[in-house]
Amino acid sequence: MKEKRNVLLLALPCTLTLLIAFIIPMVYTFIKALINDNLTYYTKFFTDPFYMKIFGNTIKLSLKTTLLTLVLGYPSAYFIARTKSKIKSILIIATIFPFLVSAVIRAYGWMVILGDSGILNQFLLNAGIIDSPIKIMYTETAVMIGMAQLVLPYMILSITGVIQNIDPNVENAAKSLGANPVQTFFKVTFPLSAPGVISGCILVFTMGMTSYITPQLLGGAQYLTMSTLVYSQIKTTYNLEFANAICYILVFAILIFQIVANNISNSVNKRLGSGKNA
Amino acid sequence: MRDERVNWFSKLVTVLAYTFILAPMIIIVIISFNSGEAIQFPPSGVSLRWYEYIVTGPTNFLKGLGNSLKVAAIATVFDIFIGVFASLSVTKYNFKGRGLLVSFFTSPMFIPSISFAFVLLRTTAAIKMMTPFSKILVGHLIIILPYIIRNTMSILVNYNWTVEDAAASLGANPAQVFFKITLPLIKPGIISGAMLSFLYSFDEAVISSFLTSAKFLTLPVQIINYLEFTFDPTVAAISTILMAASLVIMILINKFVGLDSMIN
Amino acid sequence: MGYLSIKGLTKRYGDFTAVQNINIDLEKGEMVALLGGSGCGKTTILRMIAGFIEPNEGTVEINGQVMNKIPAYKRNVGIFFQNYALFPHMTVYDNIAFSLKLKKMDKNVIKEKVESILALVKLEGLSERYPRELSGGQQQRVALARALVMEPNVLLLDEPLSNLDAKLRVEMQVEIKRIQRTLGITTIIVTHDHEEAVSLADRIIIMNAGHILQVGSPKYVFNHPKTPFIADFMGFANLIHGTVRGVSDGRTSVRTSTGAVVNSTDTESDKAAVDEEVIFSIRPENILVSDKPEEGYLKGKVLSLTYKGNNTRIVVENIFDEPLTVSSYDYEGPAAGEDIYVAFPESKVIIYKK
Repeated sequence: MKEKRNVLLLALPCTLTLLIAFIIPMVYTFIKALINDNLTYYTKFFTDPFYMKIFGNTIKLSLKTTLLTLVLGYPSAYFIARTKSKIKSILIIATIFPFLVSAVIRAYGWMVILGDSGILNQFLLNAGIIDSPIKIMYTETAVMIGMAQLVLPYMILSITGVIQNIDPNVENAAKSLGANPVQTFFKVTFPLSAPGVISGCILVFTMGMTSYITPQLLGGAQYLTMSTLVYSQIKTTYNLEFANAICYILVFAILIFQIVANNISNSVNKRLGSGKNA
Repeated sequence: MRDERVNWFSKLVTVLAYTFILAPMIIIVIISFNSGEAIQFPPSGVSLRWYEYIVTGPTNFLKGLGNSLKVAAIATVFDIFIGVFASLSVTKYNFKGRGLLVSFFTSPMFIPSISFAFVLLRTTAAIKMMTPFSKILVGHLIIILPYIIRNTMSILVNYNWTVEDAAASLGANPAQVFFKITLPLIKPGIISGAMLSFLYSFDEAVISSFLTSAKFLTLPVQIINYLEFTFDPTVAAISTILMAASLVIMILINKFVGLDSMIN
Repeated sequence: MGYLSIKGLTKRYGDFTAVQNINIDLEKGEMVALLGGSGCGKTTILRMIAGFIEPNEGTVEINGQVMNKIPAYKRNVGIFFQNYALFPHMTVYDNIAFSLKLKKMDKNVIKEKVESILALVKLEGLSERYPRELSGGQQQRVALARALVMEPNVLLLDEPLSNLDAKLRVEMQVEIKRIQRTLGITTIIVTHDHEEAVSLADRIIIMNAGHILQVGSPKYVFNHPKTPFIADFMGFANLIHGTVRGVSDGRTSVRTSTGAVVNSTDTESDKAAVDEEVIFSIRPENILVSDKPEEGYLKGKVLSLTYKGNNTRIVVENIFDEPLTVSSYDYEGPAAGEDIYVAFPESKVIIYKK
C-alpha cells in the first residue's frame, strides 16, 4: 500500500544509478563481446598454458596470502579480543588505520624495503650477510608480502568481531567440566570462531584474486596476475577484446567462488546452531 | 582466558603481525625526512627538502590533489543522498525480496574493480561528451556506494523505529519526523561513513589509472606515474602527509561514533 | 454512540485475519482495557486507532469524526509506547514540548504547560536531563507526560506497567488512575496482564484470535469469566471435568469421575441439565482448607507447597483426576504428603457447558 510506494521512492535513485552506471555497462559489454567474437578469446585464454599459468599463479598467490594472514591474524585477533590491557585500543587503532591508507602508499613502502637498492638489501649488504642484492621485487614473494600486509587487517577484524561475541561463560563452562586451556581452545573457542575465520578467508582470498595496485607495483611485468595481465593487454598488446575476456573470466570466477564459499559458510553456521550473532 | 601459554604465544604473534603491518608505513615517514638524494635507512640527515619538492618539483601534485578532492567530494555527497534513502528503504520496511534488494545495492563490491574499470573504459569511450573527470567520477561513485550503504544500514539496524511512531502521534508529519527525529539521530553515523567513503575514493587507484588522461590525473595516479621514472623520497613525503590526514580523520570518526563500531 | 467508536474493524494480512469485525464504544472519560495474549489482535487495534495501520474494513470514529483517511500525525491521539520511545537526542523538556512546538505555540505557554504536566506526573526539576540519565520509572513518566501534554482526544497505553518492578508497578497503577481521572481523558490500555487490566480499567474487553470474547467490569469479569479459556486466562487455575447429577432450586450438583460431588449456586453460570457433561472452576483463593475432616469437606493429599510470600500455593491430588490448585493466605496447614481437607463455597463455583 502506502508502504510499497515509499520503498519504491526511496530505492529509486540508487537503483537507477546502479543500473545506468554499473549493471547495464557490465551486461552490455559482455554480450556485445559475445556477439562480436563468440568465445574466441575465452578459448584463447583457456587453451594457452601461458595464460592458464597466470590464472593458476593468481589462485596460488591468493591461497598463500590467505594462509599467511590466517596464521598471523588469528592469534592477533584472539589476543585483541581477550586482552584486558590498555593496549587493546592502540591495537584497534593500528588495525583500522591501514584501511585509510592508499594501496599505492603501502605498495610503495614495500618497494622501498624490498628493492634491489632498498632498505633490506642495504642492511644485509652492510652487515656482510650477502654479497649482492637479493632479487625480491617483481617476484611472487614481493607481491605476496605486499598483499598480505594489505589484507591482514581485514582478517584480524573479521575474527576479532566473532571472538568478542563468544560468551566467555561458554569457555568457563568447558573449564568447569574439566577441559584444560588448550582443549578449551580447540574444542570450544576455535569452532565457535569459525564463522569469522571463514568470512575472513573469503574476503582475503577475493581481494587476493582481484587486487590490482599491489601486483602492479610489486610484480610489474615480470610477475603477472590476472589483473595486471588485463592491464598489459590494454597498454602493451592493445588487445582489448582479449582483455575483455580476461575481465569476465575473473568476474565469473569470483562470483562462483563467492556462491560456493557462502554455501559452505552457511552450512557451517547452521551446524554451529546460529546461537551467537556472527 | 588467563592462561599463560596461550597468551604468550598470541602475544608474540601479535607483535610480529603488527610490526609487519606498521613497518612499511613507519619507514616511509622516516625516509621522508631524509636529507640525502636516495632512499637510505637510517637517513643521512634530517631535512624538509622533499616536502618542498612536492610543490617545487616538475610534477604538479597540487593539481592532482585538487582533482582527487573534487572527485571524492562529489562522489561522497551524491552517494550519501542516494545511499541513505536506499538504506532507509530496506531497513524501515519489511517485504519479500528485501535481501535481494540489499544484495543489489551492494553488488559492486562483488565485482573485481579492475573488471569494472575496464568495462567503464570501453563503454564511455564511445560517449564523446564525457570528460575523464566525469568518467572517473562515475566509476568512483559506484565503487564507494556499497560502503556507504553498509555503513548506513548498520546504523539503521540499531535505530529504534518506535520514536518515529511517537513523533507522528505527537503531530509531526513525515517530513518533520525525518528532519527532527531520524536525521539528528543517524547523523553521526552517516558523517563517519561519509568520511570513510571520502577516503576510499581519494585513495582509489584502479579506476583512476584506467580512465585517466594526461589532462586529468588524480593524486594516486600521479604517484604511480612518478614512481615509474624516479625513486626519490618525494613520494615518501606525500605519503606522510596523506597518512597524517588519515590519522586526523580517524580521530574525528572516533569522536563521532567510536572506533568499536568499525569492528563489525 | 460513544466518544471513541470502533465499528466492524477488520484487518487481514494475506490469508491471516488479525482482527475480525471488532465493535467497541467508549464514553468520554472512560478507561477501557483490551486484554489478551500475544497475537490476539489488541496491538493491531491500537495501531489502527493511532493511524499507523489502515483497516481493511470498518471505521474508527473519535467524537463523531471518521478517522480512517486521516494520517496519524493529524489525529491528536496520544500514545504511550511499551518501550517509551523517548527521543534520545532531546532533553525531558524538549521531549514533552515536542508536540506543542509543532503547533507553533507561544514559548511561555509551552513552558507553562510542560511544567504543569511535569508536576502532574511528579517529575519537577528533571526537565534538563536526557532520557539516558533517567531511571526506568522516570522515563516512563516522561513518556506519559509527553503523550498527555498535547491534550489528546484519546490516550492509548501499550503495556504501561510491563517494564516496571513490582513496587513501581503498584505506584504507577495509582498514578495512572489518578491522572486519568483528573484529566478525564478517554483511554484504552492494551495489556496481556490480567492484574494490570483489573486494577486500572473501568471496563475490560477480553480478546483472542482477533475476536472479542467478553466485555464487563473488572469485578464481573474477574469473578465470572464466560468461558473456560477466559477463566484460565484470568487465573482460575482449576478446570475440572464432571457430569451434572442434579438440578434444584438454583443449585447444580456435579459429580466427577472420582466420585467427588461439588455444588454450584452461581447465577451467572451456564444452565446445564442432568447428565450433561460440564467443566467447573473456582479461583484458588476461594477454596477453603482444613487439616481435619469437616462437614462438606473433601479429602485429598498435599502434592506440593510453594510459599509465595503473600500467599501459599498448594497443589492437592486425589480429590479429582486433575490436580487442584489452592491459594491460602497465612497458611499453617498440612505439609507435602499429608492429608488435607478442602471445601468449595457454592456461590464461587462456576459451571461451563462443554
